[in-house]
Amino acid sequence: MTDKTKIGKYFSYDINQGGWRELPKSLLLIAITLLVILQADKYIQTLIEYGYCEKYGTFLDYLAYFFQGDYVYELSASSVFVLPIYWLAFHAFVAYIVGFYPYEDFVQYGRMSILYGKDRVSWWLAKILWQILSVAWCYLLVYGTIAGYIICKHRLLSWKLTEEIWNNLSPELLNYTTTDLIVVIVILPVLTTIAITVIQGVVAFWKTPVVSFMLVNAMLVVSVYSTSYLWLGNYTMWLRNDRISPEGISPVIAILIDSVLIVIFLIIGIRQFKRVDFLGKVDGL
Amino acid sequence: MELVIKDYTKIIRKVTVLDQINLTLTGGKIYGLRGKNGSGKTMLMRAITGLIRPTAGYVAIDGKKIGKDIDFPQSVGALIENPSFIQEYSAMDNLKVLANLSGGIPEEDIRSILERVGLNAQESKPFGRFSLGMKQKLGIAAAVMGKPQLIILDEPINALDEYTVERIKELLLELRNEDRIILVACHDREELDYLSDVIIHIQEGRIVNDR
Repeated sequence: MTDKTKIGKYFSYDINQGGWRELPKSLLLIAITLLVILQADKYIQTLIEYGYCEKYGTFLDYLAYFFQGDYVYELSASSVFVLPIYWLAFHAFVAYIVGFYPYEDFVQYGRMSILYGKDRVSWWLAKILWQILSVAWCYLLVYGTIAGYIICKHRLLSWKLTEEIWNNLSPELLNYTTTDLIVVIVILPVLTTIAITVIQGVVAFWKTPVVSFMLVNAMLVVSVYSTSYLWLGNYTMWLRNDRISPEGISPVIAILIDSVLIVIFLIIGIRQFKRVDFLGKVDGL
Repeated sequence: MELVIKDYTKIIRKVTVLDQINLTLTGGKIYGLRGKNGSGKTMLMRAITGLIRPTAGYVAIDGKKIGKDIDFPQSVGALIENPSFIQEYSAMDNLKVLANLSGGIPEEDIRSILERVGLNAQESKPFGRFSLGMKQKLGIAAAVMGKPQLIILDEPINALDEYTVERIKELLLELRNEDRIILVACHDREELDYLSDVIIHIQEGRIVNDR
């Protein structure tokens, strides 16, 4: 039987071990975020120079810029395709941060910790919790970096889009209500990343963390080229929203799919982990 | 306490690593596990501790099947293969983490067992800088702390000096007299004969005889 106290104990161990191990790596996200901010600033600067805009962006402008992704890709002889490199870098980096610690602990110290805690399911659920918390941490780092930049530059720390900026970039976004914006820019990307992470965690134990990480990256790249509910990466780009691109993704359906996938893969993971063998690294088998 | 292994078979990637194992272990005895490298000693220890799941058969402790009724033996300590601990933590801190997970073993008991195996509980040196012998001592301390009902030790006296070997033997005999089941695998035939009440011989994943 799974024990909440036991999950808590394993989780606290994971925060201590995995957290400190992955924390320095996650700081690279600050650099990625700053690069996106500087790119956005360069764009806004051009708008200011040409008289389209009078001021720099708000917190929400930069956040929306960070998580925009790319428009639906249409294959044609004249189409030019640019990979949304920062979007890809962020998601690949999150997959890298969360994808390796659980398995590495499993083949090393995990063998001891699971034996003393005497509960397979709690051990695995604690690892999933750790992964979810790591995802939240990665997003918070992005939010925090943007907020820090805004404060340092004495700009507006507000949840309001600057009309002049988005008139040129994606005017459809200006019709979104605050709730809509929270859903497409915050909730959906975070929930989708959690769904990807849970799937990644299950595949890592089924195959290996490297295979799992590569599959996530392959899925992200395919998402850029193909707009479909099958490729979860689409859900994290608000430019793929069905109100912006009719063939795009409905946030309601995406949230439902994410939630169902999380539940299904949690169940698969629990069933799989109840039968998994702790063999350790030294086994040639 | 009674540990029953019934028709236990484990096949990993088409290789039969444990083949129809039948054994009954009872409290108050030291069982010596003898066999060549790759004969299945470590795999049998993993099976008993619940770290691997059977392809067929089962391990039951006091009638409770591992993998069905319980995930792991409820009172177990094990040293299997190379001791694996948190590299940055001291001996004391490493055992405190495990003690916390196992439901709380008093700090005084941890301190006492560390001293008993020849480690200084006050020492702040991290595990990553331990010598081979110190690592082995910590592995033994982890396995016996809290005096679990079932103690599994895979090559416990490897890398230990004579003096420490005597202390460990003394400790194991003491635990045996407290009605624990102790299973020890050891390449040193003489030491194993001295310690064991029952010798279990394993060959190519099969028990070939036990006396």
